Amino acid sequence: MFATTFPPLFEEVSPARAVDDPGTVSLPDTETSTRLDRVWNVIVWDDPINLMSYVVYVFQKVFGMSEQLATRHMIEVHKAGRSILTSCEREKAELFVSRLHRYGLQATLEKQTG
Amino acid sequence: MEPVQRQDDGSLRVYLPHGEGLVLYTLPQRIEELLSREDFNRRVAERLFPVAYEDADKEAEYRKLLGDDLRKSKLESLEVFRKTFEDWEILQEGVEVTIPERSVETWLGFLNDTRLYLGVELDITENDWSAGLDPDEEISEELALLHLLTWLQQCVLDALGFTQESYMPEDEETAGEEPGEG
Repeated sequence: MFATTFPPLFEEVSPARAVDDPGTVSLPDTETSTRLDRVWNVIVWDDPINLMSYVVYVFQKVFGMSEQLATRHMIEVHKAGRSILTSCEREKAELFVSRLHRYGLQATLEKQTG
Repeated sequence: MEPVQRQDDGSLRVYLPHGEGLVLYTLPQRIEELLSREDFNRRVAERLFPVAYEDADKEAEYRKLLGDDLRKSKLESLEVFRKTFEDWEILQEGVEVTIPERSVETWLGFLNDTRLYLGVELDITENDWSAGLDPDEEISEELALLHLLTWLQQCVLDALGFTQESYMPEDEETAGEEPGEG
């Protein structure tokens, strides 16, 4: 089984770590939630037609991934049905998805949660 | 001789038997007609122009911004493919086409789009569609074309150093499956 997460390729915003302090009432971290609102995952879905080798080729072309990382993502797509390729601001994520669509890959955007 | 050979200048030289060459020569026209039809298969459209968002409003915004670019890019790749075949060289044993380095990506994209279209038309939903094909079995024209384009796409990828076997998960390799697809 492959890991479901990969090293971030672009500026990824990490979710805020919860700090348990029973003595205080913590207010929502508005800065973090605003930043999280701006982070979108670029997801590629499994497809019965696209060749494995072609998918690796496209990942390298679009994201500049190493062959090893591109292969890991491709295998995750093949086995798990989908893979998150990167997480970034919406505008950038839309451009990535658009490029993946040009190559014929099924790609979608999903707002990052948690 | 390898059917697709990479040249020193980065271009690819493709050698095909006459029959296959003619099929590919007519391919852009077939796809162009398909794209311009009013009764364009909705499922094909959904596959070639997939949705980016689940949310309908966001999807509409996205289409407004980038939808035309996608359509234009599909038509451009069709033109690039057509051009390579217009400049083909007819040899005694087949045809030879040259794909300039700058056109390799779009050429591959056109092959892939056509494969996707055929996949929808043939209602292919499983990864093992290409496994266990009996060479003596009669198959539809669409399926034969899909196999031809799959073979050609892999030959191009091989020439670029993306050999299919390198990416086959080990458990499937040992199981003897032919997982062409990812």
